[in-house]
Amino acid sequence: MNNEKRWEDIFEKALEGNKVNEVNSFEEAMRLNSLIEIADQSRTLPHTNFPEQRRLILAASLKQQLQNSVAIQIAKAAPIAPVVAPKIQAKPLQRTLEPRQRMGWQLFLGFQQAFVVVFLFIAVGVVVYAATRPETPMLPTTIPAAATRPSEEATPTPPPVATATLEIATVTTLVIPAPVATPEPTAEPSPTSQPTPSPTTAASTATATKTTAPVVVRTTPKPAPTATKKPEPTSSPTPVRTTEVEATSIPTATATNTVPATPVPPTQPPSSTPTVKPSPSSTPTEDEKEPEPTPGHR
Amino acid sequence: MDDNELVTRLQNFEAEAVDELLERYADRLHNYIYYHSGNHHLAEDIVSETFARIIEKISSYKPGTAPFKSWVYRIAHNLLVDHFRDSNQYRSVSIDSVNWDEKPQARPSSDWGAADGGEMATRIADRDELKQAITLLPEDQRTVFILRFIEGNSLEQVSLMLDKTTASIKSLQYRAVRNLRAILDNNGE
Repeated sequence: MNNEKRWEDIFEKALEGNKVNEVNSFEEAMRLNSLIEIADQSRTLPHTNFPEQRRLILAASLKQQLQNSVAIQIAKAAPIAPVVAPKIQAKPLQRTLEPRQRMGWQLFLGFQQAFVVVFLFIAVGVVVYAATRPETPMLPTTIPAAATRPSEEATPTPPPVATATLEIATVTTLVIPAPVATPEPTAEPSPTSQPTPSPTTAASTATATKTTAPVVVRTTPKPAPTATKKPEPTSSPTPVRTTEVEATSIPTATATNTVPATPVPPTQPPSSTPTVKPSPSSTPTEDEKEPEPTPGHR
Repeated sequence: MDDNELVTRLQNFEAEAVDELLERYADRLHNYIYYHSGNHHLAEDIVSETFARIIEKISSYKPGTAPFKSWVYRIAHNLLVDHFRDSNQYRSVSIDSVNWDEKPQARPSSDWGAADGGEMATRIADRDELKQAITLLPEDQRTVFILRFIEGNSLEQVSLMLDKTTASIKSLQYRAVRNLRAILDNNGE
């Protein structure tokens, strides 16, 4: 061991360039020289360089690792750790939306807003149009209809309003002549005498219409066509005529009915004529007022 | 910029210090691992892993305890030993497994400093034979031989790198040179 230790020291001194005097023999000197030669030869071995491209990649990786370690250190030093975590998670989402998806999303929102604006514009336009429209279209539709009425005589449409006025007018006109005709009932023999010239009901109705026709013409100056219609018993004027006939037939038809129904005219005419005649309420006032007084009212 | 300043910048997370670190230690570590393994690709991988470990552990390094160079080489050496241990190739490196056809780029001879003129040619001629003989050394002697003669580190630096005493490094160095001489003499015969 001591010899081994001694040679190690000699060899170390020779490598350092110091002179070695401990060598005792030529054999030891050759042995020492061969060791030094091998050591020197080993120093001539070529150095192997780390590839440049690999070095660049490694540098980038190490810098990234250094930054990550910085982030870790900051996260450790931060008092509230959860605040840092959401920020790190939010970055990838923004990155995913950055390239084309973000642009597409903006386009989608723009189209959506434009569609809403156009829809609102159209809706407002429709409302405004609907508010302004009713006045103008109603006039042209009604005016031509009224204009066509005179030409179209057979149209049943005009009567509804006009007939109502006509009925009232005819009734009033018929009522008026009734009291005028009251003097006739007073002359009772006249109705009895009339049945003879009017043995049929058609003739009586014809006379009734003839009597009413001039009355209608007087009361209704505006509906001129109605006056023309009366001689032609169409659909619409007929209801008017029925009322007229009923009203007029009260005084006249009694006479007609009495004539054909019974061969004994004196029995029915008194029954019918007294009932009709009190309605005028003009002549029999004094006779009826006397029996009315009752002790209850007093 | 010395190693202490480099360490300070790295501990302050300065990205520019990484370039300086690679410029200073990439080739040395690659050379050291290459002469250990005889494989350039493995040397590149272990060098990359070594630097990653350096960045990871730089905050735990204390400048007053050991030289930064020794600390870096110790990391590389431990990774190399771990690799051989995991792959069951420890001490199984043979001449046949070494791809000597890969001609690494040679550095100027001035970096080595020990050779002179006429003897250099003969030594370079014997270079391939010497490389093959190095791979046949025991792992501890090979490590000391590479760190001491190829890397040019001093006994103290190697002792710090391998965490051994200077006397043990001196003994390993002497045995490595003696075994190399024996291997070369046997191959010559």
